[in-house]
Amino acid sequence: MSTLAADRRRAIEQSGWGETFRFVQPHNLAFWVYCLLVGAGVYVLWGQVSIAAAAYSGALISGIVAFGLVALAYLWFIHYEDRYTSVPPKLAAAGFVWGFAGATGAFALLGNDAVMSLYAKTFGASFAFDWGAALAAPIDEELAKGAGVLLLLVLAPKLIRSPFDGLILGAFVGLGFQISEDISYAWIGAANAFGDVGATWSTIAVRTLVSIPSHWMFTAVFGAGLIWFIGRPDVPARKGLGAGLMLTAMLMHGLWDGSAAIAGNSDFSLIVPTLVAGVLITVFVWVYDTSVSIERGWMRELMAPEVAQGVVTPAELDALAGTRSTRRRYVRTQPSSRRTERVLDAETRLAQQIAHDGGAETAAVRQARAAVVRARGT
Amino acid sequence: MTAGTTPTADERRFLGIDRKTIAPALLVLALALVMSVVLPAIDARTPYRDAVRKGDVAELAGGITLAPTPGWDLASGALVGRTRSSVGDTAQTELVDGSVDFFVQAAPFAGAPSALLTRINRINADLSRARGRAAALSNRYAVTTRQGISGVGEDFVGLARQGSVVAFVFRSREPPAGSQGQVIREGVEIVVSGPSGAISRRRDDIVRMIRSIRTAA
Repeated sequence: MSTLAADRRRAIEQSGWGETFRFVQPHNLAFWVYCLLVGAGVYVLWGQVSIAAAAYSGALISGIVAFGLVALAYLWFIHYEDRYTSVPPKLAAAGFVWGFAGATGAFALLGNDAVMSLYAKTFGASFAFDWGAALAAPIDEELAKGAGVLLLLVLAPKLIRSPFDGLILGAFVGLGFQISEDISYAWIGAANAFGDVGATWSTIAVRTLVSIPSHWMFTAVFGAGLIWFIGRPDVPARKGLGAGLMLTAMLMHGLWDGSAAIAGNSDFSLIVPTLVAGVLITVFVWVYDTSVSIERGWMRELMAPEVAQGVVTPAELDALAGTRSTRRRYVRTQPSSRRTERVLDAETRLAQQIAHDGGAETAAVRQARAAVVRARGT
Repeated sequence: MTAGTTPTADERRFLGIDRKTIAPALLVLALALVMSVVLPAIDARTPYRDAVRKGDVAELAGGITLAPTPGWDLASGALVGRTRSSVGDTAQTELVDGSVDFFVQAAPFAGAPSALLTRINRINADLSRARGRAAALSNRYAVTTRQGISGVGEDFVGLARQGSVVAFVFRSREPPAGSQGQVIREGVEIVVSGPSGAISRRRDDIVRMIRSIRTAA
């Protein structure tokens, strides 16, 4: 086997690219714990939804429709950013469901209420009014969501091979949590306003506007940190960085929830959340850029034999394994940008097929390779 | 297992479960139990340690206040001058004393107190149907605060608890000078509930707190 072919095999093995996700694993305790806790979460949430449906059905339906659309937009965005060794849809769905039902119903709803009440009993209601959410939710909720990433790591150890996988999976878990919480806030907004559906739409508008520095981003940072903390067979553990990122996610969450109390009645009331959002987005981008380089290396090793065979040009490989701006720059410099996009898309499908077939020279791989040639000729 | 050989499925498993999956799965299960069982149990056994003192005033919503009876516990809400965050137009306050609960919900409401009470009753009827619990309601009666604001109340009797619901609509704040804005009208719902004997023993406290509600507008 040539060096390039050996590198390709190793990249496929290390990245878990092409592996399928099998959810039902009776010999895996994580499977049973996942099912038990998601079941418990659904039961708890059902108790809430039945109340909402009885007395605030208009608000509940508005929340489901509006935040359903928000969910679709973010699902598309996260999938768009997961462009190299993509998380399989079934694994992403398991993450979303954990966040939506398990982390909310089986952990956060009861845990947050208890901790907030304990703060009120111990330090007074005024203290809890100011700081209760900021001191309860970041710990309860980040641990609840992070628990889902840990369970899925045990269910899919061959698929979650890098901190970038933790980032993407964490984003799916966090998004599920966020949408579940958003829908709850939508009908609770009406409940707190004597059933006024107008209050629901105010809640929907505000929650949508602040949906970027929210749970999907907190848990993405936490998920990458968890994988760095634990380490993977080909990505050595970095305990300090991992713990630092998990604590950063909690800290940013706490500062966000406590921003009203931090600013008080001063002119800084908007500055604090803006600052927190800026720091969080910066940390997220840094984690993304740092962790994605491993995935880019795998893409480069996977496609290097295609460059040697003349199927893919070196410049195309740079675009395939580069950042989006590298790809855009490359496309712009070509005589026909439309044809170049088609070629790059065909090459991406070829990479996926090679990974799916474990690097073997199958009929499907040959067809995908022929598709690249056809795209180049049109 | 012999050194240098790959473990068989039986050797890797304990009661049919892969050994390496047990620790992380049990860690997650333990975390769930702490959050959903242990913490609520600790909360249920923890008493309040910060009872309301003489002179404390609770802010129900922007510009609307209530003087709680000293000795009651503020379970949720804000005391005037004791919080950094401002209390918005939609807010909840809850006072407890033993088994009696005094809950206040404030939110913008444009109608009259009787319209607010009708809306509250409709919501409660929907909730009672969903929960399979019903409560009998008394005739409505007038309630007036010491500031002279009139509201409307009614009593309810359920299987385990009884109590009263009172509705007011206050002018919570004036529009800024020179602006064309409308006066914000704030609905206030008070629900007092508990076992009948406990409510009777605290009737004077409850009436005093309801009558103490006032608006700065």
